[in-house]
Amino acid sequence: MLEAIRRIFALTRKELLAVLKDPRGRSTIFIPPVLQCLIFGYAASFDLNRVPYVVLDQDRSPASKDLLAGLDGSGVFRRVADLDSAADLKTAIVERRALLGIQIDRDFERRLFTGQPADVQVLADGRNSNTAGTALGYVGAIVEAFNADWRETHGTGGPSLRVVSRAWYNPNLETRWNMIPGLIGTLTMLQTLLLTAMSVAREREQGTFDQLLVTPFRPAEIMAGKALPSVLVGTVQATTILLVAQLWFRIPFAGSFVTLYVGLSAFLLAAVGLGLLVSSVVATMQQALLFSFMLLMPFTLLSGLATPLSAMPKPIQAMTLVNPLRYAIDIAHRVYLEGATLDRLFSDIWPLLVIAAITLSVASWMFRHRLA
Amino acid sequence: MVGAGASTVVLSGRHIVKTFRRGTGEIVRALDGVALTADRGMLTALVGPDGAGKTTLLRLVAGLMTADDGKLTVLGIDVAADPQQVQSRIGYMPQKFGLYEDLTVQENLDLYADLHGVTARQRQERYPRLMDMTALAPFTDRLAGRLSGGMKQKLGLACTLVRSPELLLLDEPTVGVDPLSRRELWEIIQQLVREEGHSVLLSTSYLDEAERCEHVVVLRQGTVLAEGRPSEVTDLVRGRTFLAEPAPGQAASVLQAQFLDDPQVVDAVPEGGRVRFVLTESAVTVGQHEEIRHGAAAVEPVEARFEDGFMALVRQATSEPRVAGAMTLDRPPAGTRDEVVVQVHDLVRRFGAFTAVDHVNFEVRRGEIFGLLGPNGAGKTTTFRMLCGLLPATDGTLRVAGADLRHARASARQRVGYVAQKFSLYGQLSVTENLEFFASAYGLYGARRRDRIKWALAQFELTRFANLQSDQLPGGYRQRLAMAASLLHEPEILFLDEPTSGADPLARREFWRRITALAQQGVTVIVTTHFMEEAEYCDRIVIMDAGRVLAQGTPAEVRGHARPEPGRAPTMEDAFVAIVEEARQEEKPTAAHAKSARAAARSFGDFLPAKLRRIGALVRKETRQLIRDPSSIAIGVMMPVLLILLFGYGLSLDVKNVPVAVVLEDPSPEAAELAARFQLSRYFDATLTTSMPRALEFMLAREVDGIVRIRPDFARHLQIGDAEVQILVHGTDSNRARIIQNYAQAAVGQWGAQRAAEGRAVLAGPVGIQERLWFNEANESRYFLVPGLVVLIMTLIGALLTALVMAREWERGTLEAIFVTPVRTGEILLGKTIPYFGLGMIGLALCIVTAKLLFHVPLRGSVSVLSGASMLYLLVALAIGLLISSAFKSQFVASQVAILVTFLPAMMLSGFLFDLRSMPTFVWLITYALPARYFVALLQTAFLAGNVWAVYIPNLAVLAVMAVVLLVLARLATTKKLA
Repeated sequence: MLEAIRRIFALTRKELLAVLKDPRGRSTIFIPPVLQCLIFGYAASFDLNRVPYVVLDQDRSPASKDLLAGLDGSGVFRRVADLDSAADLKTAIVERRALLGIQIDRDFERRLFTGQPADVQVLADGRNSNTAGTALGYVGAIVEAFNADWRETHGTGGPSLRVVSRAWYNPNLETRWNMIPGLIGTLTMLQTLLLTAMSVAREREQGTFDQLLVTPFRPAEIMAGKALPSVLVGTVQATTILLVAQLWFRIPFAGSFVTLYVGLSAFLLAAVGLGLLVSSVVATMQQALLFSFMLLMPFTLLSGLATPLSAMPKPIQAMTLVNPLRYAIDIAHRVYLEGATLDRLFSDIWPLLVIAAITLSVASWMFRHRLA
Repeated sequence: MVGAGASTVVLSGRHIVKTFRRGTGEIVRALDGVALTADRGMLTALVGPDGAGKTTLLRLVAGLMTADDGKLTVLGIDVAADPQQVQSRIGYMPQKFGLYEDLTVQENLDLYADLHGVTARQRQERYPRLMDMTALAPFTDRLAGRLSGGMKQKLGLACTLVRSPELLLLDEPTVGVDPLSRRELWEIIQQLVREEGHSVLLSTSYLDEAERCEHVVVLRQGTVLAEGRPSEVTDLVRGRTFLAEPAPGQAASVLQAQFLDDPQVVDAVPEGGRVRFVLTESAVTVGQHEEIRHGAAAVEPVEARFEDGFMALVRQATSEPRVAGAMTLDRPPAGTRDEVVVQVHDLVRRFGAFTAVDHVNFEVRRGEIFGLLGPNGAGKTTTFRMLCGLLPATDGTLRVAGADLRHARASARQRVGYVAQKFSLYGQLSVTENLEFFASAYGLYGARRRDRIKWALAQFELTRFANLQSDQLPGGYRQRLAMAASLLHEPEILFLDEPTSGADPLARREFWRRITALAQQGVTVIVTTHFMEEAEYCDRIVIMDAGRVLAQGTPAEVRGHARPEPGRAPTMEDAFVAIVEEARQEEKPTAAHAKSARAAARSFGDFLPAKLRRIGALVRKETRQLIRDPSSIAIGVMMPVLLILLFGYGLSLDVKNVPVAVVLEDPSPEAAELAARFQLSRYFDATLTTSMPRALEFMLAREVDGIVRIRPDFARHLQIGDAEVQILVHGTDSNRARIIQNYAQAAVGQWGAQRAAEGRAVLAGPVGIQERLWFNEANESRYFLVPGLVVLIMTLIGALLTALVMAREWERGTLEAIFVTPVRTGEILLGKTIPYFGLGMIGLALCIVTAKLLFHVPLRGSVSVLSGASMLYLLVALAIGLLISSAFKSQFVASQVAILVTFLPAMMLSGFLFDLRSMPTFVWLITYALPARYFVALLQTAFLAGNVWAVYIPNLAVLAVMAVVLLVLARLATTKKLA
């Protein structure tokens, strides 16, 4: 037993040396996660703040100016042109100069004063319907504010109905609060899976794997010696991303770090197990890379990071149950934003441990039976 | 071919200097003022110990490197000034010939024939001869990766010899090639020179080969020691060479070791059961040579040969007084001699229908040196791998140190050491780190580990390199390190697979001294080799061919099989050739010839211009590789399909059937009416409850994503005009939360509007909104997600896959031989890009068809604009992939960089998912530099909006400019030079 531990330790040390000694290897551990975290943190946002819009204000009344001032002052919209014809409005959107076109009819103010419903028309570029939908939501909120104001100052009276809305855990609904904790799992998985899958493939390509197999190492020890460094590197990477999230983006952290790391460890085991499984089937580094990619793409897309799991069809939701990333993202979200404790995370942790157990044992079996 | 009056010199170099920097910053002068000439129609050999600069010199001649100083003229051309012209006219076989392992023997051969512009007629004449020479005819359809090491070498040579160039450069062409093939190969080379008047410059570590050349250049550590006819080198030691007959009962190798230790002896080797030795000049002139016999039974003078002269030259130049290699073990293995430690009985190994090892039997006793000899592909390495437990046997039994290593407990492997054919060490680790790792792997630790490492460093004279990264060790030292690593745990049995392949004569003597010393101390050594004279060091040998044992016994017994040759004693090589040829004659080699004739018939488009044929050959090669590698198909075809299905069916940003809890705290009909709104809405999947705490429980358990609360007295408040509906959403997924809020608000609004229309109480504001979502009226997110996929797929195929496959060529050295052909850099790049361009277009077609047919995404613009834009983007992506690969040249780094600079931006910063204008200014500015941004604009417009030229033209223009600039950059960044 002691001997086995010594051997595993030796292999771990060798793996870490091989990665860390080479300056390029070192930089592939730290630079991509940090860069990716920054890019994703800034770019991956459904929040809008510079939506170009054009206006066809045929009323040009104080009321219409008031309404548009609400848009301009919102910090979300940027007026790029005041137009004179409906045709211009159309071209502005077709040619992508504006995302929204707002048309206010000639009798807007008159209808307001006479108590008739006064409509504004909003045209949106649906080429990215998600962005357009979000923008329309903002317009609705601004118009609602205008209405409330109008009712108050002009006392049109009449019964009214207000909608009061509040969001838990993320009061301003900032995408970043949701995206960056999710990145901890995503980026760590990207790196550890690739690193693990390629480490055995590289030994195969260079012929050192045979050398390893004639030493007293047992297949399980080789597995452990390959898995441990990847878990360590993954932990360091996760910590790096965590630091960027805390120190740069300053995402509020409601839970405990211990809980987060416990969850992450289970996740890393599962990710490394997958990496070893890939490496036990492939022959070359190219195959290792491409097959890892084949796993990473669907795992990332079906993780709930960018699109909600509950919006997926039921069969696909069932498929996500084998996706370790789905649990990791849930753990990160819940620890970060909800402050969830370990007992509440059990439903996320046990599937990860099952995935780890299955992948590791299958990989171990493959190592033993595919030595040729 | 050669014009009248052409110079007789094909190669001349003056004062050539080439330096390299090691990883440690140390400058190494690989060539230090070398001058040489080679004449037309002559065989010129470069000989010298490892690290002499032979390979560097050949690479300079081939124009693959540029000298720091000096002038090198090849075929009258200044290589440095015009390498391409030289490369078009010479043939070059690098030391590690980069065969494409996923192409067959025939395909590899065809590729080089095409690149060299060999016509079908020439092939018909050439191929059968090459196939005969290399004995590869039965294997033309086998993948090169499945050939044995020696067969690969022969194929490399065949690829080089597909045409007869004016000057042929061969870098150690016979390393790892068995004696039979070596003879055939030399016949071809000599025929080329004699009959066709070609000039050949080769480097070799077989000194009998150098002796056959007309001109030799002896190099050592970057300087020329001697240049001239081989006999001039031999003349140096004439009258100083002798043969000693060992005393009865004395092994030749023991006598040889004694001679080697004598300072008056320059060199000693076993030969035909006797020992050949060379005395120093002083020993002969003083006349002492009569006394130097070290107990030999008889000593007689013998004719000097080139090897003797060479050894004298090299030893003269070295400061070390003797051949290193005497070594002592701390703890010699216990156990009695003559005890059988390795037993092989009826061993069989089949690969499919092919029997690699066919009922092999032998035994090895403790302390023996046991040699496994045989032609390439005889099954030696397969036997070895079975003995070491790396490969299961199909049938038969084998016991190594009393166990079958394949099933034995780990402790059995503790008693065995193994050195693989390629010295397999961790290149990134230093010498000490490698030793530390293997020591720990064998369970050594603490003081014992330190002692053993100190022992190994001292015994193998590695101390001065202790901290050097092991892939920067000079050749001979790498072999020493591999052996040191395998001896750390003091194994009883040592397996060495072709340990001296490619080693220089000096290193080989050292190696065998060590082996002899180990065996004397009780270590059992099993070794394979292609140097027949090395069989003399063995106690017993086995000769194998085609998986069967042909002869077995002591070297003297085996030598007895040789056909008697008049005038000289039979050598081991004679015996080997006789045994193998006799065995082969019994089998009828009929099928082979039929096959090689068929093989010759294939050649495409002889009528095309050479340039097009070369590009065509490269495209064919790339396409084959692409089709054969499951991972390329996976990424090129399966990945797009998978993504399309995922995006089409699975991923959606749309909000539908969101689980919400509607808390109805007011029993009034108005409240119920409002609640019903939520229940009827297709956006919500509403659960009705009357208790707020229960709703909160649902939310905490994530059973619902939002709560709509209708407070008590809702109806009353509505009358006063002060009603309120509370909406609570789970904010973890903020985007979804916002959409839920909007829809909830809309549901409340609609209810109010309906009431207003019915003339009941009005609500909301006086201003209503009429929304219209253009181009995507149904608000389907798959309408923009599926077109966006095209960007991802084009990026994957164009940039990531191209970067990877090109980096693989650099990493595996497959480009070295391709470079020295008439092929131009631009053609190599074209040959690489065309197949991937095709794959990208297939991906595009898949996307468009499924988008239209399966998901009914409208395609409102013109297909031709869409395809045009995709082609431009694909070109940009390909160019980026090529640029990355030429900058990094390593698969791992290139793929990391490609993901970082192409794939992630295409996903995140292209406007495909996220709005560009809402990003912070600096990120937003970066997006202007990203090609994906322009492509996404084009795609979304072409799919959903129609032909909007105001969007098309600027975006197409930017992509076109990027494509041109990047392709030019990629062309400039790729040069036919080795780092």
